[in-house]
Amino acid sequence: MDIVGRRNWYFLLSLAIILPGIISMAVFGFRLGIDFAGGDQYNLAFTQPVQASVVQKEMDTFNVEATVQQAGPNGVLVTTKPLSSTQETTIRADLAQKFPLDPSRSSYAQVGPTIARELVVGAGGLIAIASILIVIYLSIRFNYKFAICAILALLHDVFVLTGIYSILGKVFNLPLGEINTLFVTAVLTVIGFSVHDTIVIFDRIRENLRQASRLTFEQNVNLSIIQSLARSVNTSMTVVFVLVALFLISPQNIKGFTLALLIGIVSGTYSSIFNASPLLVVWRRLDPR
Amino acid sequence: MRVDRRLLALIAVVAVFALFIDGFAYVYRVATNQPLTGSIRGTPTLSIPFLGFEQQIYIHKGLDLQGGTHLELEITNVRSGISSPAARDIAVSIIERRVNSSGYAESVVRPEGQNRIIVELPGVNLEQAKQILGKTSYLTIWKWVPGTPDAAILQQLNPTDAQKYPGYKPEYTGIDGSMITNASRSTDPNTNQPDVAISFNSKGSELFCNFTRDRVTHPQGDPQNKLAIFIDKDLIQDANVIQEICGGSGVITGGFTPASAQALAIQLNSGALPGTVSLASATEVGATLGATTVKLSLLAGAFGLAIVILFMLLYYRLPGVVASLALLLYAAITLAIFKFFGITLTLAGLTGFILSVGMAVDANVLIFERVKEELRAGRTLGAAMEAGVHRAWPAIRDSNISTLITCFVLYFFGAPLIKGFAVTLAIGVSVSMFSAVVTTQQFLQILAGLRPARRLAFYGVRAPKAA
Repeated sequence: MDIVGRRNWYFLLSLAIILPGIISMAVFGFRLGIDFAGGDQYNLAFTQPVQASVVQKEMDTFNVEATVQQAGPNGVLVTTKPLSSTQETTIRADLAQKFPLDPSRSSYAQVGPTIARELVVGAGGLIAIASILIVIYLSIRFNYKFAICAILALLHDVFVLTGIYSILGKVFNLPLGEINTLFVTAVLTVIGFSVHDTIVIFDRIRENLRQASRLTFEQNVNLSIIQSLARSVNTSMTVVFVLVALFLISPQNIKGFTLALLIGIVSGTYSSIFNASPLLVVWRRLDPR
Repeated sequence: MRVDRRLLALIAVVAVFALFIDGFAYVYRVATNQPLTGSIRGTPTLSIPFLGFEQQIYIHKGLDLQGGTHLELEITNVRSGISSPAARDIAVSIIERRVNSSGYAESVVRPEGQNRIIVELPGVNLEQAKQILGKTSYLTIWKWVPGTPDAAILQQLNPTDAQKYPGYKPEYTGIDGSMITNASRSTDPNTNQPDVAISFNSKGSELFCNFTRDRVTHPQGDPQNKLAIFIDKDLIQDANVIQEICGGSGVITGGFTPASAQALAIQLNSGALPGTVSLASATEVGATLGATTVKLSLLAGAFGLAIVILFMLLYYRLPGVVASLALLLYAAITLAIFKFFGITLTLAGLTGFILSVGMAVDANVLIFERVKEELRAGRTLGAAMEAGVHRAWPAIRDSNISTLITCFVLYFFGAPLIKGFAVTLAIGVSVSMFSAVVTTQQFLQILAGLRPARRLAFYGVRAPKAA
């Protein structure tokens, strides 16, 4: 199997996914969730005990990304995306008809975002700082070329994930592509996974390079990828299997999160095998020292 | 490398301690004569009195997983010179600090409307929430001087407290809570007694320095040596001044329990609110993610663990058994650490933990792939296992250290949500290194020493052809 030899095809595939994503991010931005954009909140009181799950089912029919929390036996707290006044009237009327609502003790308010947009900007800065420190560490353990290739693979994964979510949320207008607190968590997870996965393959290359052999650098890298393929595929397949199951059974409000993890893990595995290691070869050709 | 008895003993001690902490709720039930099932009374607390040690041991779940209390606060009587929204924002930051210093790091504090604040505290019932937020404290520091309190002072302070020492009256030092930048519970390194460390801003620092320098000239026991802290009208602490405290930080000592030191730190942190903050409404709410989501996530977690174990058993055979044991021990240790240090688990935190489980599995996979290679190359079982661990180590070390670097950056510069993720991931990764290198390795060595375990088929490897 010659992975390194076909590297340009693999780079092309990555670009084909990342470029539309970057364009979408630049032109359309993201679809922001309630955490970021704020929303509406109903504090509903009933004259008899009502289960939050029943109200949740009812709210789901309106497609307003509602989460319903139990608030005491006779009450629930409903949070939705910002509603227009007609939507609001419709929903109120419907709830009043289906549940024993106590209007005098129920209230309605607009709520501000729970997390600031600065969180995302801040997260970007954090990724930058962490990347620099990782480059320093890997430069000591490997050399600076390995370090920078590992970070390029990391950025690849971050852009694949954020790009796809921009497209899902803004171009296809799917609630699934919404950016919220959980999405930030997913991005962080993918960063952790990506570097981890790349280093395992790099370690193999480092080891093979130390042994005297007649192989060229390119052959050496290819051999290392093949040798660690069983491990890469095994680890990723286990995770992917669990995530697919999770995605299928998870309720609406965390589907976006499990999908983000799934995309990130697949991208992380792909970039370690098909981008990071072949990039080493490209760099070596440009600068044979 | 042979089986190392000292390492085995270490694994055993760690395992026993981890299981003790994991099962602490049951130990607590037995110790307090409660039935083993049903809801638990009180908070499981481990206390070792002669060490001054007291620790609540249970899993702290975040609002998203467990729910808590949803409170609406209203700010009235805003001090002159401040607009309502500005006062609201100041109050938000003060309340945030107060809440965080009580250990509810994953709570939500956000402004609403012109003069309201929403606070959501995880895993807290109404009573506790009122304790944390209910007081609208205005903190002032006073000294005792000879004289009798006049009517103005008796109006301003609680008369019983103002007349605590006959012949002395309290006099305001000019230091109030707004000058305290931080207060936290700490421990006196010499006596192991709990105390409270405080730091001041520059103005407070200067005032406090002059004040303590003057007070320390009076003998101990003399009221004029004392530092009187009032919250609103009440005297809450009357401490001796042992030495002058300059340079912006100091320590308040004197007969604290860990809980009372914590309470004082919270009160000091609450600073000076820009108006009267009153509780408009309070409700106990369920998990923000919804109970169904939480149940499903736990189910998915269990399902995931089962798949991982099944995969390792099928693919790696006998070493898979070892890895599964190591993995279970790993999970037990990590959970024990979460419980012991009261780390708040949210979905983000849980994700960090699950990622670390993945990395722990990966470490085992790396080792076993290497062992297989060595076996195929014709090494003996013991030698193959030793070489396998040895050769897998650089990859495990470098990948995990890189992850730890990321966690470190996220923890020190990140928002609370990001911190929660970083903490669980860092703990998980650290334990997983121990698990892979110490536990798995020792278990493998034991395996290599067992005669029936020597068939290569148990390792998923065909015997190498004779060369």
